[in-house]
Amino acid sequence: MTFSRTRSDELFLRATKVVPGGIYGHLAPAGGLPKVFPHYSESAEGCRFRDVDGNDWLDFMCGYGAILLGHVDPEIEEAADRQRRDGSVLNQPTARMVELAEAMVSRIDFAEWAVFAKNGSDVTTWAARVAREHTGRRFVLKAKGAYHGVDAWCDPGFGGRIPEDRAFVGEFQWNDLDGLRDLAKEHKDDVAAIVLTPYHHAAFGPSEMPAEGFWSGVEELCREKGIILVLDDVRAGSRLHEGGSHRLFGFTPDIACYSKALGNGYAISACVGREALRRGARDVFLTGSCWSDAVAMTVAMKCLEVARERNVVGRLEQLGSRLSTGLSEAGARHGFSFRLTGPPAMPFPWFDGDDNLYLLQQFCELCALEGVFFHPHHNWFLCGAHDDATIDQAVEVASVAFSRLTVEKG
Amino acid sequence: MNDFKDPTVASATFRALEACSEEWVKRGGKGTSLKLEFSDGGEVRFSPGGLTFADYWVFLRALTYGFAMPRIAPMLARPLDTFRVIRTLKALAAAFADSENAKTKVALGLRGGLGAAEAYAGLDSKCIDAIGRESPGTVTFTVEGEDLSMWFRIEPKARYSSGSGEPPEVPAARVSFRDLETASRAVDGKLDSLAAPALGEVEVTGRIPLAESVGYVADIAARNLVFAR
Repeated sequence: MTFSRTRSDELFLRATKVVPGGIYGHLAPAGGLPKVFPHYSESAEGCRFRDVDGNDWLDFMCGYGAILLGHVDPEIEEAADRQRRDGSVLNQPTARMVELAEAMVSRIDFAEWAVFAKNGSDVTTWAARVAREHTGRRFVLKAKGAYHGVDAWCDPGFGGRIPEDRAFVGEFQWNDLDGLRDLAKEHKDDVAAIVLTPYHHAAFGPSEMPAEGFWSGVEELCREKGIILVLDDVRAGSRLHEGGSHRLFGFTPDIACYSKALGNGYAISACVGREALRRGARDVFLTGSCWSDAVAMTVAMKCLEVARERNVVGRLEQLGSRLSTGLSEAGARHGFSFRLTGPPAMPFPWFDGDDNLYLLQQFCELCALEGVFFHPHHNWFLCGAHDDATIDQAVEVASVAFSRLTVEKG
Repeated sequence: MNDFKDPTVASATFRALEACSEEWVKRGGKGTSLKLEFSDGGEVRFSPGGLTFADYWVFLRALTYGFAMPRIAPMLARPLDTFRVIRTLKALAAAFADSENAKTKVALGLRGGLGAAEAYAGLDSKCIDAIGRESPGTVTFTVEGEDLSMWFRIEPKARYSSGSGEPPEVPAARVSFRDLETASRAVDGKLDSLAAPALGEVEVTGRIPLAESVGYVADIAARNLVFAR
């Protein structure tokens, strides 16, 4: 494609005057490929987006997972428009809140109650507090490198923390069951919760699926010690199993947190839990200015319904497998051992032997120059608007990129 | 506020001066590679010998204002060594002030900053937290079109080293400044590290979190160095 980035650069320059760092958080250009990725988008539809310079992109990030069905899905937008006419944030919650809670409780096998917020962090932090309230204990255990949000107990940044923020947080290596048991032993009778994602999807490295026996071991430890098992399904929820990712991996959490795909781009998050935790859930304060947003709740209900009708989970699995096979074969044809790690619906790309990511960065840069948005540092996301043709188009672009890759940096 | 008696600040200041002087000599500057240490009595001693300050406060005053009264006896005992140390210190100060020679300023600034970062990485709790997440690896710092290359290495068991020239291993991350002016701003702590890659001022490749961690530690170290302020 003819690549232009004048407007994006102009906007960014303006931003640096009025926004610290220009763009912050996971969208900061520094965390991606700032030479070729656009800094600002203009519009999107289906599995494609247009940046502010008019470049069109085939999207494999889907709003970093927030888009499940496709950008600006007609059914979703129609539902949103309808609710918008009646208002979004009123003085009281609307009936949508009850209906959405009922929908989630009926869909998620262990759930007896649900609450709603706006972002993943809102509910992961709250869930940890509910676990503390319920158990009367202090420690929260988590996997090293796992992302659970922007709050001080778990954020990946550098600044704004005091040592006390993490005084009661313990970390172990993902899949290291013995390490987890040792940690639990070390903080005997004081572990409130183990907070885990369904599989390890840390940034800047290959995804790790749970080892055989890992989840059953975690579950057993929690039951034996009275520890609350919190599933952070914020990123993977709705993409791996419509009843929650725990169903795919065969375990049952006590609390689970969802966001991202739940609202197909409308800000909403949810936390569901077992009956035993209802009192704790009631006693830990939870609120936010726009958290009763009826539009987002309407959309979430519609999204659950449409995703089921369209069999999005099955479709993403099939499309992801097609992408995985296509890319691996294309890489092999050019002498590269390339694979997609993690679940097919949200894979992380990996060149074997490229631990420092030079090859991957070069590969994604070459693909970007042809309008395919592959991120080198974050897992990709497929959505319901991808199809065989778009996957094949991406593989074709990738194949050319593999042929142009140089290994001198490796 | 910083506590100047804080061993982190002292170690970082010593290490920065050592690294700067080493770089200065390596680049053909007149003077000697400095080494600094505390005596058991709390004196600050330069090696190879001679110049000695009664305590850390006096030493800081010398760095900050360009003069403070040294201990006389050691100076008289080794006048030549004292002269070499003073000449090196004066030369470093002049190099930093010389706006005509950005390359030397950048080389000394980067080298000194990374030297100070070694101390901070091992002693400061925020820095330990930031860099402790990273597995071993080397980050290189270069300036586009210039024969100027510095490196910082995380070694196993939380040990840190830095230097210039050829890195000790294949770098895990590379930081390349667009030009000397940009690098000079980085040395002065005036580069927005979050925005710079998007503005084309800096290119970071490889293990970006490693480069970010080292950059964060170097920035904290530089901000706390007395003579850097």
